Amino acid sequence: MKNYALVVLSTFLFFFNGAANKLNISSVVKEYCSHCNNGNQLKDKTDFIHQLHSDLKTLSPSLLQLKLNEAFVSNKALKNDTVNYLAHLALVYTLDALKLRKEAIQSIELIRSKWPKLSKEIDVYLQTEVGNNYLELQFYDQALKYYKGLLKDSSFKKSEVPKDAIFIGIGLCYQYREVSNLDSTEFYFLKALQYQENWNKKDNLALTYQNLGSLYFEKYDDKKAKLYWLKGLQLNGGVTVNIESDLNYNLADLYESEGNSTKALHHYKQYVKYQDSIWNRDKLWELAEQKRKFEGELKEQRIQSLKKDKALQQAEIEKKQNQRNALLGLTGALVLLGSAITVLYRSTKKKNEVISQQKEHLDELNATKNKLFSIVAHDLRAPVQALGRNNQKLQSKVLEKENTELADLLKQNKQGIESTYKLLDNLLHWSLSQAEELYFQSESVDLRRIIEQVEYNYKPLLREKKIEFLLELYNETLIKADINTLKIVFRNLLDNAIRFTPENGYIRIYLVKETLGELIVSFEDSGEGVEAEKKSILFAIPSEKKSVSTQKKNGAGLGMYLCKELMQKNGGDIQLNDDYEGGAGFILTFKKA
Amino acid sequence: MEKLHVLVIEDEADNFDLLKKELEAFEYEVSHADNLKDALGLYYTISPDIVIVDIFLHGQKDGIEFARKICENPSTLRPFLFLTSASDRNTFSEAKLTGPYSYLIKPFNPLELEYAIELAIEKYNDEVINLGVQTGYSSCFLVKKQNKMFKIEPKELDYIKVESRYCELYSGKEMYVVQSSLKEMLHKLPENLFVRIHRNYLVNFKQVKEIAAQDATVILKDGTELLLSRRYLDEIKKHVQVIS
Repeated sequence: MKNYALVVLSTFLFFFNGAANKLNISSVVKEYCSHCNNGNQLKDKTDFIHQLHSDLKTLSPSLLQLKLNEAFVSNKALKNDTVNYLAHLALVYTLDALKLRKEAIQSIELIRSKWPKLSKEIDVYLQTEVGNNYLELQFYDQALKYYKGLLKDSSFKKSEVPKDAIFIGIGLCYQYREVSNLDSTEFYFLKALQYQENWNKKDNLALTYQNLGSLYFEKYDDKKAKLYWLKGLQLNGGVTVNIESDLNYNLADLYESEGNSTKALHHYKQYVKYQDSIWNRDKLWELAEQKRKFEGELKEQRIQSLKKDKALQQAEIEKKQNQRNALLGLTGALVLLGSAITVLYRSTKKKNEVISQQKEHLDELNATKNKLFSIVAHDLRAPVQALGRNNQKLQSKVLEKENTELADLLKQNKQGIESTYKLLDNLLHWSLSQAEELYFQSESVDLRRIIEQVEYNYKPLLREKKIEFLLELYNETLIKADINTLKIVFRNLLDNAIRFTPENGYIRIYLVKETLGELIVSFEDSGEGVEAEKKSILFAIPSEKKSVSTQKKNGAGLGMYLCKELMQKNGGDIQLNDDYEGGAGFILTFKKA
Repeated sequence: MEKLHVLVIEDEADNFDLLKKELEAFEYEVSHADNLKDALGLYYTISPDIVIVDIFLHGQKDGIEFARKICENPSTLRPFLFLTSASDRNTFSEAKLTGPYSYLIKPFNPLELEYAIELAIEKYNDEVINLGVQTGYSSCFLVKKQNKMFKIEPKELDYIKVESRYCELYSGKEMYVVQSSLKEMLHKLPENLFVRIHRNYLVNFKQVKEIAAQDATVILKDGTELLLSRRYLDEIKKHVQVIS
């Protein structure tokens, strides 16, 4: 698979160079140059720009680079900002053309830091170049950073930069970086495709088809892979041989794994044919490249000597700069002092506002807490008192040896202890959550299995009341939540449902729908449902609300309030399902993993 | 195929007995230590497959200390999970510093125990793959047979079929499905044992009987025929004699 990936990437790089020469930095530099050339500049500057303008047209990149390097060392005209800027841009062009990627990135970063206020339009081109260069160096994370920055940039949308290339660049980054994200790749490739189909750029289009095909192939979606590869071949003509060759190779392989050897052979032959022509072309290029290298080496020595002169001049410039900097520093300090005083005044004012807001919030919380404590105290006292009374009765029954009544009393005690324990448990979790002390770790969990785990403890109760438990969720219904709090929610829901559902009833949990980021689940029982007047306060902080169960109900109704709070903490929600009339029904929303 | 070996570190005998019973019902082999020193000694001698450790041992947070110690050496690290009766943040904030872990809050039922163990292994595997650490342990596959977990070594496998999100492991007449991408799979397999013959197939070349390049098939010793892709032929030739 690795070799194969390299085939795709190398093709892409080839394409990109072509695009760079046609559309990117060179045309920008040329255009900007002629623009300045026509403007009213001083004489010595004009000369330089004029010369640069014609050099860009006539000289080879390597020669131009030499000439520019000389200019940086010696030319006085470069002390003018515009001219200097222009010369740097031209240097970037030469570095790009010579495929000196690291140097190009350095140069661009120098320009962007030296002239931060330069034209937004040109900055977009520069950023694109940095992204492209990082991509070709296979520094995918850096490339992504630049591309993504561009997408957010408003001037990028308006500019003439070929946007499909950016989308493809992003897609490739996602595909080849350490932790690949093929879904994102697909998204960006399709975006590029949309753009290209509108503009009908054949070469780019073919390449995108090739990339998309490979992507689907890697995702084991052979049908789509074949579709796009064939589309690529159907473009017919005007498409670079490399791409056609790759398309044929891939199709041959795909047909082979399908067992269609006739078609596989056909495409393989085509591939071999294209390989031959590529080889011929590459040989020619190699020769040209060697010639260019030779030229470059001749001039290298000349540069070395010029560099020394440049260093001397640089020292002189630095001295002058130091003097200027000292003056600037003094002014800056004064301005800083002034603004510091203003800021201090403002922050004090703002702090006071915040404090009064916080006070209001705290008062509110405190009132809630007090209310809750009084209820809890009452709800806890009653069952504990009942336990005490029962114990006294037990004592006397033991003496009287009335075994049937003993069993009855013990059963009552057991129920009392259980419900009090549940209340205490809820209370503990509520207080932990209020104090932000509850351990909370959101992770990918299987909702079905969590519900099964909670239900396990209620099995005896469900059996006793002959309640049917219907869990209609898929295996691996993955949501994003904290396991412990999720269990508290379902413990409360199940506990209530079992209490309010008569014998031979049912409890049903099923998936209602799935949206892009959410999972909607319904929780229903066949009990008596929520009374009309209780509906509006069901999830509120419990006050004196009470309800009568089919058996005996205890508890302060803290449970539902806790459910709401914990569901929201997990990024979801719980609501009463008013449409369900067979009992109590809830709609639960979860964040998908 | 082997049973999974669990090391339980728990100071209360009652709790351990309960846990042991449940673990044995899942067909795990159980070892036990009740203090930090014994636990570390046992950990390095028996190299368990999973560790279940109570956060509090004899009133100290020695469980966390244990985890911290074993995390110091990633190459011998095994999946572990904390046992605790508290759900407050203070207890967990220290535990969180100890690397990949999951937890189980007392009291728990068998389903919760099973899930926590699976989660611990899953997290461990993610971590190991992200770090690219070779742990020796990571080369085993944990497979489920009738809802019980066992481990199986790569050399026991005949071939592997790779699908987009899971892999099918074939060993003799058995087939196990594991959730693993190709990348994870390649990370796990020892390099000198498996060779890729097709984008869907990795084969244990000790099990290969012959390779028929012309028919684009690989025939295994047990007679199974697998598809072969020319793309991987060069790679295959390094390992096996090709008959064409």
